[in-house]
Amino acid sequence: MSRQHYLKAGEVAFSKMDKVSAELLALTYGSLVTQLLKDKEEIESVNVQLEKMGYNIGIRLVDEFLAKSGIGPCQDFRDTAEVIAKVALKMFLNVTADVTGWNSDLTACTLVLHDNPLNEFVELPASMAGLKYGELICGVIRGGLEQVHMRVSCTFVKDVLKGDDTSEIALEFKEILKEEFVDEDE
Amino acid sequence: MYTLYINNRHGSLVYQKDFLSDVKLTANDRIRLASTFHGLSAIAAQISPVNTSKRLPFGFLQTTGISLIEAEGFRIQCFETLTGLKFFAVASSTFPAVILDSFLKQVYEVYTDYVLKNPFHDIDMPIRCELFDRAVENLFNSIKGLG
Repeated sequence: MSRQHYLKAGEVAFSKMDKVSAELLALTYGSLVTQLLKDKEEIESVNVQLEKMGYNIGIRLVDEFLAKSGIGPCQDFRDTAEVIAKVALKMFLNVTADVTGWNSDLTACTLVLHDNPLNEFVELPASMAGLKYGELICGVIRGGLEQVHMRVSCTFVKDVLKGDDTSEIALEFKEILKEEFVDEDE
Repeated sequence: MYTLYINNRHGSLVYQKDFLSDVKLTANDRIRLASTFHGLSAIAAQISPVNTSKRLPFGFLQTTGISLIEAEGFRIQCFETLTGLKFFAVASSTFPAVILDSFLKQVYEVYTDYVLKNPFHDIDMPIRCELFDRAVENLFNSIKGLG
């Protein structure tokens, strides 16, 4: 299905969702990250924790996405990336992303975020250079795809909070998770 | 419509609701029926001569099980989600299939709202959630006059 089609599906899905103030979301997320920074000693473990929280959100959220977006099964991983970029991000965060930088096997790509509502009001001090502020989103993507039998890795590679021009998420397809039934008698 | 069942992706019954008061089944009967349906659905996918799931690179995403069983006097209609949940309902054979299908999809929507967003609900475990109960009842009341 075409990009335009997904853009439209994203708009429709977004219009159906219940809304919450973007400031409320940004500030709540900000206080969550600050609390984690206080609780954990290392910044790296904060990244891990954020990703894990996102993962737990993702495994539940994917059903809501499937139920309300009306998107059917994807044809291939390129399709999947477009759906995430144009429909899923739009539906839950009201942003879209561009999918670029495919490798030759079409298993890895980059999602370029046009905007990130979580970054509102945020300034990262130099001492926090290792912090991946929006890592929760990556966890959500990983958790969501795992529920539909795709193992992926997903992480922020560029972030406007760190002085980059754009925010970019690297997304890589690892393997298909299969449910196999093994007959012990055989 | 007589009864609604929801199976998790491993095939165990997580939710069941009767819309008729004279259905007399014990809890064990229901679990057995729901598991049997899951098994039959898996077998049906294997014996089907039309195997759509192998042809496409992402064929594993296609749902393959039973979507409808027609019988004398009643029918069982199933909606399987990409995450492997099965929502199925037993209804009289005069009940319009289109309405039943949209009912099952709407149940899926309220499931995502009231069950998955309930922090006390463990995924894959039986659903005990009053808000969800009420939402399902409302959905049923909105369509019961139609069949």
